[in-house]
Amino acid sequence: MARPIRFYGKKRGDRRTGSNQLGRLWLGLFSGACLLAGIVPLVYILIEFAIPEWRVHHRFIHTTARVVSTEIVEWQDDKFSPEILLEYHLATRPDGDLLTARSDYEIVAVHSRSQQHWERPYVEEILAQFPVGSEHDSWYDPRHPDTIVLMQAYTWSAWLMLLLPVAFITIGGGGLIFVVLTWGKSTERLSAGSQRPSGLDLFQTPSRGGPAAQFPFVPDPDELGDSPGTLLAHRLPPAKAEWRLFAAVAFCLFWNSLVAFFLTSAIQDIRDGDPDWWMIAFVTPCLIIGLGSIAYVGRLLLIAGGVGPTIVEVSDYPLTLGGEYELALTQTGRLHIESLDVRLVCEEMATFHQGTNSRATVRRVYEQLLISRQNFEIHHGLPFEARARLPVPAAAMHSFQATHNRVEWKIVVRGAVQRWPDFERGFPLVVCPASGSGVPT
Amino acid sequence: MNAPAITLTLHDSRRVYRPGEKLSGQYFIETVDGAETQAAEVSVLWHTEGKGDEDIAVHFFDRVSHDERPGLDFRQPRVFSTVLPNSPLSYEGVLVKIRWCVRLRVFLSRGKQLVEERAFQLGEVPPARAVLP
Amino acid sequence: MSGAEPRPAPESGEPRAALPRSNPFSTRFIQPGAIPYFFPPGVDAAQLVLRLEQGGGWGEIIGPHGSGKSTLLAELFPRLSERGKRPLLFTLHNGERSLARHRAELAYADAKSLIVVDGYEQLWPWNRALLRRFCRRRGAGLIVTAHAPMGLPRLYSCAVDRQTAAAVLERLLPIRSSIGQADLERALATHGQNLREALFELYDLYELRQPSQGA
Repeated sequence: MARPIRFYGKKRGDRRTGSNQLGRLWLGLFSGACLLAGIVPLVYILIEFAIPEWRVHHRFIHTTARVVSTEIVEWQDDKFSPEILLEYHLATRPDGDLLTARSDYEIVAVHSRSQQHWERPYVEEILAQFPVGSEHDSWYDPRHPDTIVLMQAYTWSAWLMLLLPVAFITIGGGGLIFVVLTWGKSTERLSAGSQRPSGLDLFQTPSRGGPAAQFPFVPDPDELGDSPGTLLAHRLPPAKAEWRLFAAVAFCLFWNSLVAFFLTSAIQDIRDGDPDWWMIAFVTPCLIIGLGSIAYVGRLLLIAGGVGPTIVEVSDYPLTLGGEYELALTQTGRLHIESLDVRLVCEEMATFHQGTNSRATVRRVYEQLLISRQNFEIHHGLPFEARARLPVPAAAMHSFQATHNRVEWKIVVRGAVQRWPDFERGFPLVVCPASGSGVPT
Repeated sequence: MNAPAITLTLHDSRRVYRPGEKLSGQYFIETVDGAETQAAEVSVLWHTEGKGDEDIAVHFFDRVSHDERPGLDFRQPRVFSTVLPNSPLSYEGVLVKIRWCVRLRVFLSRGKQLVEERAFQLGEVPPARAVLP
Repeated sequence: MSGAEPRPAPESGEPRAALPRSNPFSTRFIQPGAIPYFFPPGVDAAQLVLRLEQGGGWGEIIGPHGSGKSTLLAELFPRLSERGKRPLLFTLHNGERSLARHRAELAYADAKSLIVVDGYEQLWPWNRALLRRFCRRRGAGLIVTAHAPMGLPRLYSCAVDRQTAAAVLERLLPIRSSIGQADLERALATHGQNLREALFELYDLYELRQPSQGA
């Protein structure tokens, strides 16, 4: 029976039920807020800094301008900006009339007229480079020829600051995509990859139809999402590890964006000869954490992208205790493999809440080596392929899944690769009791 | 008040049942004053035991009470039967153990309860041992 | 077997020899409520209930991880119910910072209610203040458990000593076993007197010392 949305969790002893929809709604709102918090500064930085600077480098046209006069404009709070009156010919009309325009020295000042102000000595230093009557390389905007700059540099802090909104957009956008993709789907279905359902009621019965109905509390093979194979009948889906990578990348971007912001400020202070030691003391440990996160993400990306996909196919699915099957392994990439092992394993997993603690324990109770190869090369476009017998023991437990306890079968591929981190990939399997009797013979 | 004598028996004296087999049994409750038993619930269920929090699921459930059937005599044997499912099989794992049993819960006056259990085994999965790394 | 709920089967089990033995350190046998709280001499649950009533129904139970705070709560509940109180237990896990998702249950709190928060220090200070104000307004009692004082009247400080640990072990292993007092003391020393962790370690030890059966 369908349940209405419950707005608050209900406690049954130590077990609670609650509203997934409400949780997703909150996640959606949070993600939307993150997305907005990323888009607004991104648009601002793009319009005010990034696009104008890019246009100066790629769209503005070079000319030679003569300094007619200079002026220091005073703003509020004892801040100043340079103003240089230039005289120049448009490159498209070298013999045309001289054009006279005021330059604000660089494009950032042009676009942030009310904000880009400096101390008076710094402005005087700038103007000293441009004595009246001197000629200088300049760049003008073909769309608005009276916009001309004397500097063609990038403001690196602005470009680094782009990372901050990008991190927010990644987190917010990712969250929204997750909400959209998962809206209205049950926790059981969503967690089928990890085979971790929740909210097991006392009288819960599995879905009707298929092996799940025939074997209660055996995970539904359909929900693991196997697909047709190319070497054998079924291709096994890999265990869901993408979220770890996603979370690590999101953290790395977010953290390092913040670090970059503070680091830029600290470096600027050092360059100005006025180091802020408190800032340096604050930034240093943050920088170490940031570099650590980059190394970790790099390792994950190396494993995910560098090693190349691992494909495991089986001759029949789901498997049955006591059954004899065939397994095919395909490993792509361009690698020197020092060792590659493929095992059939069975693990027990138990989660427990004790007092205010909760934790999970895993214990391997069955392991059988199926394939073992040492020292070989995998060439680009020529993947390594191996086949093996896959005998499922008769005297063992079938796959089992409840709220706090489960028994999971999987194929584990473990490789040691020269000059790369070792990798281990799991491919969950569903193993049913022997058909009919359910009692191994 | 004298504690009632609860008799819960399975018709088949075997400990091990095969999936799909019929499990049947009977129970009766003898008391000095038969009226003090308010209700009785018989369930065929499995629960987990081990290092994790307990999971439990009821495969068969039958409740009889004086409220629904006035004049009910709990001293008369009451038979129950069910066809056992294909899974989960009884399991003696390292972290996870799955136990099947018939549980009779007797509700007495003043909110007191008594529980009687008969354990049985579904299937013959051998005990598991941890694989050492 | 008659009684409330099942207990570990005796190790030298007789008529049930065909069925597997239970590991006496399984969660179901060591979780709060499954074993009683062992008080030191001169203290008992009735005294604590009296102390709580004298403190206006407010109190805190403090102690380190695995010292029996949740078990003590389970011990007090039936006595509090007998005194006409209606305990509402909220166990906070994994850094839960608010009771927002329990608002529906809190809505029914009245002067007879006793709001019990296991893991109180996990709440944000702001939420703790809100909860205290809520209890004052409703006239409800408030018992909290925490690892350090939280500013409520001290009801009890839990600690695991040798005698308590020995009593728990004796309760779980009434008959001779492959696990002994020395094992418990070693486990306690390893886990800094955290009895819960020590019992979990004994679970694994018990499994290891079981004779191999079958294939």
